[in-house]
Amino acid sequence: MVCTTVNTIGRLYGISRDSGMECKKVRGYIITTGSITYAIKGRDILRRLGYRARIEKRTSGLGSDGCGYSIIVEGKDIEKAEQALRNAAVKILQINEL
Amino acid sequence: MIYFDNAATTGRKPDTVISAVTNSLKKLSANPGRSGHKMSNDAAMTVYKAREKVSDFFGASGPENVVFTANCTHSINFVIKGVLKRGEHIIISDLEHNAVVRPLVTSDIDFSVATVSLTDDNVTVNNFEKLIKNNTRMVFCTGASNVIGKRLPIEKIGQMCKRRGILFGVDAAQTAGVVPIDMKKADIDFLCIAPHKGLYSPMGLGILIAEKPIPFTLIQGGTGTESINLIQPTSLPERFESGTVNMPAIAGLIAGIDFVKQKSTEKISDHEFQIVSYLYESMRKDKDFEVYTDGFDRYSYAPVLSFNVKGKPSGEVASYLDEKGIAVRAGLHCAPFAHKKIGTTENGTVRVCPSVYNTKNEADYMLNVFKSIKKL
Repeated sequence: MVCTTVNTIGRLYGISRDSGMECKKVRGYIITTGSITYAIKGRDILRRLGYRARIEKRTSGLGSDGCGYSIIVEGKDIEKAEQALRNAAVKILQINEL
Repeated sequence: MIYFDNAATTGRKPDTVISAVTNSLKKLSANPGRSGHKMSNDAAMTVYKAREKVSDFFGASGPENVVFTANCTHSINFVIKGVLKRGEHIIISDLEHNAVVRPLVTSDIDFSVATVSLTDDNVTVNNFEKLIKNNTRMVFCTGASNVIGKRLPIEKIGQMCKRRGILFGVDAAQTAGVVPIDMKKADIDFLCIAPHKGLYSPMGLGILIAEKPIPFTLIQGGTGTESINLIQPTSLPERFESGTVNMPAIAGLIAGIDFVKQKSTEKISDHEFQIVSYLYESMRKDKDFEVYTDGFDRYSYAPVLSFNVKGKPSGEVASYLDEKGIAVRAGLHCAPFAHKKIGTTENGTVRVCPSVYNTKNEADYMLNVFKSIKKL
């Protein structure tokens, strides 16, 4: 479950005030890397960190980034995963929820 | 046949390499990194495994820095023509193969040729450093001559280049798998490898390990990535791998590296050197032979020996040896610079290079055959 702060009152009246939390169930993430080389490298890094990760060929968004490969990561701690990949110079094109 | 032409390519490949190639043709005959189905993914994993093995074997930063090319000459062209531009200067040695010289001669790049001392490595390094100018961008040199086997002091040249802020590229065609190479330790920025020689892999594959950017790609095309983009992708390794890679040779490369590691580079080198130095000492003592180095020690030379039978054209000697079942290479070995250095441009030389599979008995047989050559 991933929860994010929702600021509705502030948006309506120009006041910045927390109004509550919005939560939804996130099964995992799709980390689009582009090349198969970086997808495999990234998958191996995440697996060593204990994530369940696998590689899939991109099936959507071809018109924006073209063909490529994504790492499917199960779990919720995407910030840590993303940081680990960026630290290893793995090129990340985008991250989407599963 | 007794195969002594291993400097051209290793004539006998290990059974494990042959099995790996066959297995690849049977079970991995899919385009790696393109299609997304199981066989394509399996092929892609094999390619990645090969990159990891190469990176580990040569002390590179990571598998993504390992590019597969058609051959070592292509790798060298990618470096020289991809990094340097008009107005820049490069220094090469007087032992370089045409794979290095020809791209420069036909380009707008200014180049100087440093003299390699056959007796003092510090003199060699000084000779390179003396040629550095304000616009010098790179030093590119062979790890060892494919004609006389002379090894260049790669680590010392690398240190000098790093100190002077210059890129350093190495042609490791004759040294990969025979001489230990650690890119980090030797400050090598670009390493060009012919895996079908000292790594006992199939022909039709080259390797380029790039630790620094290569701005210009000589070849553009499909890479299986970012395909909506009409510009070549920026990331290694796919940036330099347009088109389909040589999957069977890459599968063979994995087995070839394992073979060399299992035997150890040190032991392979010891074995080959024993045979070559035995031939060298026998020929040096015989007035009918001409050898071209004053000494042939283990750490100054790769196991590549050039010689001539006095009064006989090198080609004639090679043909006669072929009739007797011995394979060698005669002529200029695509290295006119080296032949100019030792004074053999007119006749060339006969070149012998053993592999892990050659034996001293085979060397003795060749020396016996020479007794009949002299009578011709």
